Amino acid sequence: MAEQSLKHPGYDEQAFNKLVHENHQRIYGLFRRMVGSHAEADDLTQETFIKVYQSLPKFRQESSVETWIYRLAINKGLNYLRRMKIRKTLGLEFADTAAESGESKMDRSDRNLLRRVIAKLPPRQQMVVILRSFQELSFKEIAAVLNMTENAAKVNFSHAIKNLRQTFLKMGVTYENM
Amino acid sequence: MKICKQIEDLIPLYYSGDLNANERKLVENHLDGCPTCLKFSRSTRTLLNDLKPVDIPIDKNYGAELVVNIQNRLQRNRRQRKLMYYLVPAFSSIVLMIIVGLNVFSHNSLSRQWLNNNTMVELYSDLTHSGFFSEMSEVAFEQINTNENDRIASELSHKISAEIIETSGSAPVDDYIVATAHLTDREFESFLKEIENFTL
Repeated sequence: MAEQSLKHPGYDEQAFNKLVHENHQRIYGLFRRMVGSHAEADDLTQETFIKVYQSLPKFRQESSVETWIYRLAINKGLNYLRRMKIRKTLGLEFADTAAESGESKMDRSDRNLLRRVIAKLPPRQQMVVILRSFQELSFKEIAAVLNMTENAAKVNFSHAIKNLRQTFLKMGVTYENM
Repeated sequence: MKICKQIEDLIPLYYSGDLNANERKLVENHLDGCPTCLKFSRSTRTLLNDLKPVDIPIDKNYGAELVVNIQNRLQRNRRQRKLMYYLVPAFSSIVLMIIVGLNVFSHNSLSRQWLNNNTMVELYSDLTHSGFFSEMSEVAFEQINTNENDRIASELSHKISAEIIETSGSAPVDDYIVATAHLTDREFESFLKEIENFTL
C-alpha cells in the first residue's frame, strides 16, 4: 500500500479505493458478527471507511494502516453498541423477547441467540469476546485496539464468559454435565 | 473460597489458550481436587466451543459495491459542504442588506421629520439647540450677518420672538436665552425691542 500517497486522500482516490478493497472483508466480518444483519454491518462498514477517508491527513503512521483502520472500526462498533444500550434503556428499541421469555428448549448453538446474549454484555466485554473468539485476535492486539492493558483485556474476557454463562442459565440453557 | 474465585477467572483463559505454563499447572492442580470448579470449567469449555468463529459469507461483488457506495456518500458530503460554502455568504449578504436597508429607512424617516420642521424659526431653533452656531466665533458670525444677512437676522429675531410669545403665554426667560444665543449684542437689543412691541 502506497501509504505516502494516502496522506493526501483528496488527490489519490485510487489509493483510497484500494485500501477499501484490501480491508473491507475484515471490517465487514467484525460488524456482521457484532450486529447480525447485513444492512447494519454494511452501513457501519461504509461509515468506518468514510471516517478513514476524513482522518487520513491525521494518520501519523505510528502503526500499520490496517491496524489503524481496525481501531477506527472498533471505536465505531463500541459507539454503536453503546447507542443500542442507551436506546434499549430508554425503551426506544424492542425488548429481546426470546431472551426474556425464559424458554427452556433453545438451541444454545443458535448463532442469533448467541449474538443476542452477547449483546446483553457491557460494550467493552462484548467487544473483547467478539475480537478474541470470533475475530481470533490475541490479547496483545485487543489491548492495542481497545486502548487498554493486556491484563485488563483478559479480565474483561473472563468476566464476559462468566456473565454469558449466567445469562444462559437464567434463560434455561444449561451448560452443565456436558 | 478465594482460590476458587481466582481459578474461575483463569478458566476462560485456560481454554482460550492464553495462560502460561505455571498458570496452566495451577488450574489443572486445582481442578483435580475441586469438583465445583471442575463443573464450572466443563460448562465454560462448552460455551467457548460455541463461540468459535464461523465464516461470514461475503459476496464477491461486495467490495466493488462498497467502494461505489462510499464514493457516493463522499460525493454527497462534498456537495453538501459546497452548498454550505455558497449558502453561508449568500445568507450573510441578505442579512447585511436587510440591516443596511433598515438603517437607511430609519435615517430617511429622521431626515424627513427634520425637514418637516419647515418654518425658518424651527429650523433656526434646531440649529441653535444643536449648537450649530455655538462653535462659530463672534467675529465670523458678524461677518456673515452683514447686509442681506442683517435683514434675515432681523426677520428671524422677529419670528423667533413671535413664535415664543405665541407658544408660551408666560414667555419663559430660559427659552429667550436659548433662542437668542447666536445673536450679537446689537441684534439682541433689537430683539428685546421686538419683544416689547409684541407684549405691549
